[in-house]
Amino acid sequence: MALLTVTNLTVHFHTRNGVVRAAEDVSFEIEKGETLSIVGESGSGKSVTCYSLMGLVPQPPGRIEGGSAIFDGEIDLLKCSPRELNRIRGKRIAMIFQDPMTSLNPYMRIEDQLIEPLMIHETIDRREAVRRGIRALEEVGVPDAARRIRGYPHEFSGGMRQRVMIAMALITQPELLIADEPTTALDVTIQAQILDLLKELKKKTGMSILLITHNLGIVGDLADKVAVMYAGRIVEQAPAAVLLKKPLHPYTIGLMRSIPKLGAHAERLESIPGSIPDAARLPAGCKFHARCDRAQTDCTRDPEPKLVEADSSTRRVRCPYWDKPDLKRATP
Amino acid sequence: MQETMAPLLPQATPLVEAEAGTSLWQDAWHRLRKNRMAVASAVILAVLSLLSVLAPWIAPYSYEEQNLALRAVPPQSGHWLGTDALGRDQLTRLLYGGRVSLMVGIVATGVALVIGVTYGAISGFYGGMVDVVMMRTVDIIYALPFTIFVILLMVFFGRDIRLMFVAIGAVEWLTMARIVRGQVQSLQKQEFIEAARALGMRQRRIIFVHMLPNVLGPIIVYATLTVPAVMLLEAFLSFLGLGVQPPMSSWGLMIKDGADRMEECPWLLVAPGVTLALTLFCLNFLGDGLRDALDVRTSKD
Amino acid sequence: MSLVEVNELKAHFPVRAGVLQRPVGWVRAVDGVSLAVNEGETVGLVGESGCGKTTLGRTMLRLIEPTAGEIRFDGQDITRLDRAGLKPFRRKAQMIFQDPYGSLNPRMTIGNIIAEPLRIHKLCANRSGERDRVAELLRSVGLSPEHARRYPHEFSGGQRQRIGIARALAVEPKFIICDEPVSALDVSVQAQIINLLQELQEKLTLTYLFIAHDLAVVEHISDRVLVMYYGKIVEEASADDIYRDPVHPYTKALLSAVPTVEPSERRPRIIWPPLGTTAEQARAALQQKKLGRREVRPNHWVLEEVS
Repeated sequence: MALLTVTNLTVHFHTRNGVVRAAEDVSFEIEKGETLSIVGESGSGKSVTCYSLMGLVPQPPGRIEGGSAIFDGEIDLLKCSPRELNRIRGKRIAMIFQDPMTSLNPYMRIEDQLIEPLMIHETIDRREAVRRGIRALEEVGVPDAARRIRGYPHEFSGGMRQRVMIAMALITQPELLIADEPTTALDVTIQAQILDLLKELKKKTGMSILLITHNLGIVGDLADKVAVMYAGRIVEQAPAAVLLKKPLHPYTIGLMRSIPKLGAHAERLESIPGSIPDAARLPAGCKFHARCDRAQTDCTRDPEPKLVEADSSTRRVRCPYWDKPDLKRATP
Repeated sequence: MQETMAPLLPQATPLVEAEAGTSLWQDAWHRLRKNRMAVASAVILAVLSLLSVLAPWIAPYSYEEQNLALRAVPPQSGHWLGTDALGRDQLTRLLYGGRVSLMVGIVATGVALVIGVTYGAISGFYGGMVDVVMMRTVDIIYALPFTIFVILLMVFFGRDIRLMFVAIGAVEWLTMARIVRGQVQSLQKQEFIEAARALGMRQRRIIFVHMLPNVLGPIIVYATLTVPAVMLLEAFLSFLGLGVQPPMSSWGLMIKDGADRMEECPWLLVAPGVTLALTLFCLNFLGDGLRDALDVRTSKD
Repeated sequence: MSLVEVNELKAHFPVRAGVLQRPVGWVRAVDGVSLAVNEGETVGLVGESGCGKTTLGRTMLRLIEPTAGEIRFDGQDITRLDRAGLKPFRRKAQMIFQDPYGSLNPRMTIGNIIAEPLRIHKLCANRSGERDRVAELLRSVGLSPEHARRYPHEFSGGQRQRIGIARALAVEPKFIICDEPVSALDVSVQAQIINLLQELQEKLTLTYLFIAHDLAVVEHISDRVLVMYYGKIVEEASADDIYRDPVHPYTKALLSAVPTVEPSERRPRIIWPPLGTTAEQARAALQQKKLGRREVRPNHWVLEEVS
């Protein structure tokens, strides 16, 4: 039984410009000990999906229009009461955010922020909590932890702050860690250290990770499974190694081709023409058809394509022409 | 029905298909219109201003006219708001008082605006020693007790209503200068200002074409919030006897008279008090509405 | 002779404290940089945050005043020219900025944003000539002339970068400093902008200094690469050589840290400065020791300690 089963999650935002269909019919599963990475660019719905799992989507203007997110086979995160959600958040499911500069309270000592989850979720006396806090900091590689725990966020560098955030997330030993672009704001050398740390912690604690990123390199490094999202929908799902070796959806293919690779000696990068559609005004049919190099006339008409099994039972693609890579775009 | 395929899109497509763009000002106007409190406040203020402006034509009496037979009478026909101790009609005094109070509010704020914006823009733009000296000066003036300053002015230059404008303006510009300086400083770091420098633009052009339009938002908002502060100051001065002198009236003066005779003639306090409070509320709501409407954060789609 | 030459350039900023704001120390953002850019080539400048690459770019354009050193453009020493003397230089060297949201004045139409440099440098005879030129510039960056009446907030990040490029091109520069032009953009849009920059370089014979922290992007677009660390250039070589044969331990550390899609391409991780070294120690090591440039391979230079 999977640790988290998300089925048909649909989140809409009702703005004065119209209804923004931020996430539509998103389904995925995370087993215990598994790392699922959701890959997408801005407007893909990757962040909204994860925020709604933690009850962080403001409603209004957001609204969870449908779907379920069953955690540990028992609780539907989308439908449970705020009290039940609070018992899970910070204890069994933890989240780390993108910007280490703003995710810590600048007015509180690290110590107070770090032990806060413990004080809330466990009956524990403060001294024991601080001891565990120091241990947590040591686990994430903060040197001189016993002294630095008394410091303030501004005394830490970006990489250190991210480590503190990870320590804060892991101090209650959660079963699922949701990481929203945890290394995007960091230098590449620090990023490598944080990724190593996550790998190590994964091995040690056996926790599951839901990792949001736009960096396919990180996906290759850390993820077991990948889901690629575009315009609020999952367009491709597969085991990580398989997808990176042989992407099937035209968007995934285009994305991988447009990323410069070290040592590739390419003259020009292959870019996907056009831009991401306005979320309040999505086209009919497949949301990618305007930019797709093999789109046909039926791609422009509703209903939009469904996720179908492709190539093997572990892969799904939202494209009826996934097996025709040489198909040319239909001309007017 | 066969649908034809659109050719592959060019490299860039616009997000909005509108004819001409909507500037941030137009955007702000739309948002302001939707804010009912702000719109209601604006309407009330407009009505009050109109009544005050038209005072000479619509007031039932002249503001000096004294009817000694009807001294200190409560509201009745002929005198809808009653009369004061010298038999002057309250309604008339309220309308004429509005002219004074509103004029003080607008003019003094205007003075504070001009001085404050210029001072703050220069200080923020040039930075360095200039900024340090200018801001320390502001700090020093801030520390001076306002009341004593005004009293000194009045003592030296006599009780002229125009002096009151100067006194109030001379105090209110300080905060405006600080706000503008802060805004200018944060704008300095924006890349479009650096781009302007890289293109070889003169400093004067950068300040007027690139900085000020972007600072206008907070300035407008703060100005609408300064007007009520100024009106209160005027009321305070008049209360102390340092402001408007009878037979001229202002809402502040009327409140003073009313407060003096609160027990015998409560009606003297109610009308000007309610009117002043109403005006201040409206100005505040309008200021809040403007601030929300002009919030430039939405420029980041 | 190179188009752009920089010699021992320094940009030091005082750290002030106390009531009288006396300098108590110095941030040596650019600490003795020498480089040369030849006409038509793309020089990549790579480094992590705080290394001084952004400051170097701005100092080269005199947007920040250099503390010491020399900047030569087209043979002319522009280091100490005043604003009037710099005006012709401003036509020849321009900059493209990182933040697509902050680099355009939100209160101006993009037509005016692009027309402004034309007006300042009096490049068009009349209004209609100006309009034509703006239309031409918009087309050259892949936008339509009808967009001229719109405002920046109505465009996406990628489109705003194109507008920024059009603005820089308005003065017909020979040299453009690209300061992290794609870092703030979505991945698929990055490729579009990189391709656009390359096309424009061919069409208009432009010379680029491309500043970025993404090694793959820099390697793709550059002919030569400079690696910057705490205000100094620690390694300089062709893009190929830097990738295949890095010499300085910092360069090796950078390359080994890039997450790769292919497990086979993974490099052994190198940590530099060595574990346990604090930032201050690393900076002090760089600033206090006596260092010199040595050509370790043909056209491949490394900064080393000299005995």
